[in-house]
Amino acid sequence: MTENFHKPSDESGSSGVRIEGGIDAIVVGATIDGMIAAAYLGKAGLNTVLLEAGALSPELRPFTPGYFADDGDFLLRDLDPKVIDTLKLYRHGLKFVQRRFDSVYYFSDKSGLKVNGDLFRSYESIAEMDVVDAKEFKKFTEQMLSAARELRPMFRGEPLRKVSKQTRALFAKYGTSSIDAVLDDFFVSDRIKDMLSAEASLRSSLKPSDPHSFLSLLRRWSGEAAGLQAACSLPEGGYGGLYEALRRAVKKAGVEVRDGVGIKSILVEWDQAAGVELEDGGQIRAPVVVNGLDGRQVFLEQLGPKLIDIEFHKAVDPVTPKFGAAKVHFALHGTPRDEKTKKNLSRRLVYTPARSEMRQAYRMAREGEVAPELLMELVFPNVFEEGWAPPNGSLAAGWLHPIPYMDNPDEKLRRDVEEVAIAMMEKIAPGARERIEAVDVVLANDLSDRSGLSPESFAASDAVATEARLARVIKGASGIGGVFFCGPEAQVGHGVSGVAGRGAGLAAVEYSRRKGRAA
Amino acid sequence: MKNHRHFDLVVLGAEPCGYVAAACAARAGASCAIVTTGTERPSLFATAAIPNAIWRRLDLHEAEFSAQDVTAHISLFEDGHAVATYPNEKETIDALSVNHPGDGALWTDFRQSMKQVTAMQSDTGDDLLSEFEEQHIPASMQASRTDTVNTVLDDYFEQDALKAHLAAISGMTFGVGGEEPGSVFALASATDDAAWKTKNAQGIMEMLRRICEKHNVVEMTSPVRRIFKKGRGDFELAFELGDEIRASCLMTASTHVTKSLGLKSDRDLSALSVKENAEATINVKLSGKAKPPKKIENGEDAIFYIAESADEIRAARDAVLEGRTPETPPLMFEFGDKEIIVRTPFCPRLIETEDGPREWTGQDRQVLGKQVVDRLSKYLNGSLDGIQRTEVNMIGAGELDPENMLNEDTPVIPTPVSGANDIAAAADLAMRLIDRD
Repeated sequence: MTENFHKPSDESGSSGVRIEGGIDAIVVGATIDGMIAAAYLGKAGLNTVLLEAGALSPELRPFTPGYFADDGDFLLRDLDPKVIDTLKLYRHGLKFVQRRFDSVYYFSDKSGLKVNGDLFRSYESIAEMDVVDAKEFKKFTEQMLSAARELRPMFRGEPLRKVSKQTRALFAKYGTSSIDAVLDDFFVSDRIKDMLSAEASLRSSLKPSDPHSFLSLLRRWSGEAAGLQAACSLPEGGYGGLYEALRRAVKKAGVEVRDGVGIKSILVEWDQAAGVELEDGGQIRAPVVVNGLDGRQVFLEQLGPKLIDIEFHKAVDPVTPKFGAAKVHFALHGTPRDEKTKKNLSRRLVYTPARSEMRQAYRMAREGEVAPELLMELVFPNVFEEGWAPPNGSLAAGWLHPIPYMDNPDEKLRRDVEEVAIAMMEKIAPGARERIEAVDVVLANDLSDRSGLSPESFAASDAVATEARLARVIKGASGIGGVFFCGPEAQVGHGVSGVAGRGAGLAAVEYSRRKGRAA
Repeated sequence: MKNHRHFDLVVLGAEPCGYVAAACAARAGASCAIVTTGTERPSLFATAAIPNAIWRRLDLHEAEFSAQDVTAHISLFEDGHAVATYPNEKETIDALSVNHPGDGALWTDFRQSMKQVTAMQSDTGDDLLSEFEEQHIPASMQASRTDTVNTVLDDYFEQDALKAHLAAISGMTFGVGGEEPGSVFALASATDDAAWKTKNAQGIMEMLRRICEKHNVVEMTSPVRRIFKKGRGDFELAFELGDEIRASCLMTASTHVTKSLGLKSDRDLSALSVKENAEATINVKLSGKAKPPKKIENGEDAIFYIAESADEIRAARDAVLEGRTPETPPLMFEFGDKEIIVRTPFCPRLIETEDGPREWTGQDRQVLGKQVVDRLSKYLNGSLDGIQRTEVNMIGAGELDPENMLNEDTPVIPTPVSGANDIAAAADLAMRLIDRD
């Protein structure tokens, strides 16, 4: 390792180009993946600097007096257990206040269905509704969960190793299918079909009738959080809770964190990373640069289009997305009195439009409008811990999907989304309209403003197969030694996963070791 | 009297591809039967061309048959101009280059890239899986199996009319809207060399029938009542009239037949291999000879398309998914002697209403017929004289679940992969099946 490094000067106000050396690795962007990469590098004994640009604030955001919104992805479905283990996140304060949410699906015909949060046992809940389909449901979930487990590397942008005969046969038949077609093959009940196609469609730009949409369901069911596959859990403090735990892990690993420093470009010399140029003109020199910002920024702005392959250029500069999802927070005053509603507040509530309504929703979103019926997923974090809402109030947070994607949405979109959100809330809980004090709508451009990542990073995700291919290509495609990437494009699908950060961190450590030996 | 004959191969669906499959298998020494299902697509003027390999295998040169090939795909636009593509690549490039040299110059590249896509084999997940098992994916992101028609067209061409033309050919042949991931396969198949059709479908059917007869292929015309299969044993088919036959192998002539009978297939038929929608065929009978617009050369043997933009195809597909007829139905049509046959491949199977879905009524058909004729005469600039009557036929409309056929133990039945040429696909499958046993 480097021994004779000099400490960076602290005279940040001074003029003149400042050049810093003696650093082994720079990580740009304190995103979840960026922090994970930094922690892996620090743990490996590399002198690492984390530049804190491009992350959502871990602080909850007050949107109306007493009520707080969480801009991060706080529902965890796929937090890499290896990351939790290696970085000892539990020791650094990661805690789950709800390890597995039971789900309640509300259908447009006003019926509802409660489903066990443990998918392996969910058929028991289905049996109460439909005995024939329950048998089928058990078969279906068992088959799909085991296939999803085997295909996990693919959903993480890694090559597959061993695939069993059963999964191979399943994939040969349904690998390119639409979720509609698969569900039609298995089930009779429209509710089960609506429910599962809702799970596959949430935050995906694929209509349930589109080819390749079936893989979205497997992707969603492939992850595990808090030790159970396909479950969804809530960390204490939401996204901020996970963030703080990671930050402590980063500090523990000896990484130097610098707040609010943006970079202008990645320095490249002889096709190898040489460091970064900061926005204030200063330079930090290091042979390894790991970047957690979005691909467009990293490859087209910081590296520059001249340095990258033209085909690859196309991949990181895709066409404008057409669909988005809105994050919504409801401030509700009063607390429910009856036991049943109270119980429901500790569950994940999903408003599930019928198939034809979903089709209409996608079509309207494509045409720039917000449909009257949308898919909505909600949880109530204030039920599990204080700090989200005042004692006599509730905070509901979740996603509304699909809506039109716009870089610069007009006020009308925001208003329309708010209106539909309230209408959906009213359908889930009749009478709720009176109790709504405020609704907070977060669109892709808000998240972009608040994080510094491109708004496209927050659009609905593309086909799983497309994203998996991109994720595999993007990691190594810059062709520049020492540059590693763990931005949103390196991940397949939405939500926090940490796989990209771990991958980039480990690859950077390995690169550094090999380079040290060569020198 | 029960007929308990046994066959090596039984083909469901008396379509040209079914006859070819049976004839090829019979010529290779298998005993074959072909079953009329009653759900076959009516034969129009043009049908899939018979690939050379099959022409030779069946010695069709002895059949004294000559067929006129389709000479061009031509899209007409409201402002009167037209875009055409031809079987001959050079002719296409020349035609495209007149107004947009760039589009002409890229045509060869486009075809090359579409060939790559075809080589990826469209509709099984097998290849997709192996793609992810491989350690290395080339950095080039070109020709990905999840591309859409519209992104590929935007990538290559500038002229909106050409994009509309190609979106129309692929959309109307395969029923895709152009924005589905993976719809690039429809584009690749529809622009493949093997996709060029032959006129005189009637003549081809008769010739194929004669060849089947010559090779002792038995034709069953009674409707099938049930299909069984016990374990690894033979398929058993029971017919309405009481006949029963056994077969070592069973296949359908095309994905259309499989889907229209509600059979289980060995592959998923939704992924581009079959239209989920119904299709209307409208025969417009004229008092005089039907003639294409004057300024279009050799229009008699061309297939015409009407779709103002690629967006119109997408909107039509969206309408179908929502159970509506499109506001401006995209059309494809051919000229006959005293008639024009028009097809609108984007029709919902059932019409969605506030009280739930309902079947097509006579009135719906009439409204559609009128809509189509209006649009047609607008684009043909009044050269549509003396309409005597129009007949509207629906294919694949109504509920898709013939319960008498489909039940718990209906076996899985092999279906040809839908692609550029249905005839080649059916023949391939037939040969593979009899080879296996």
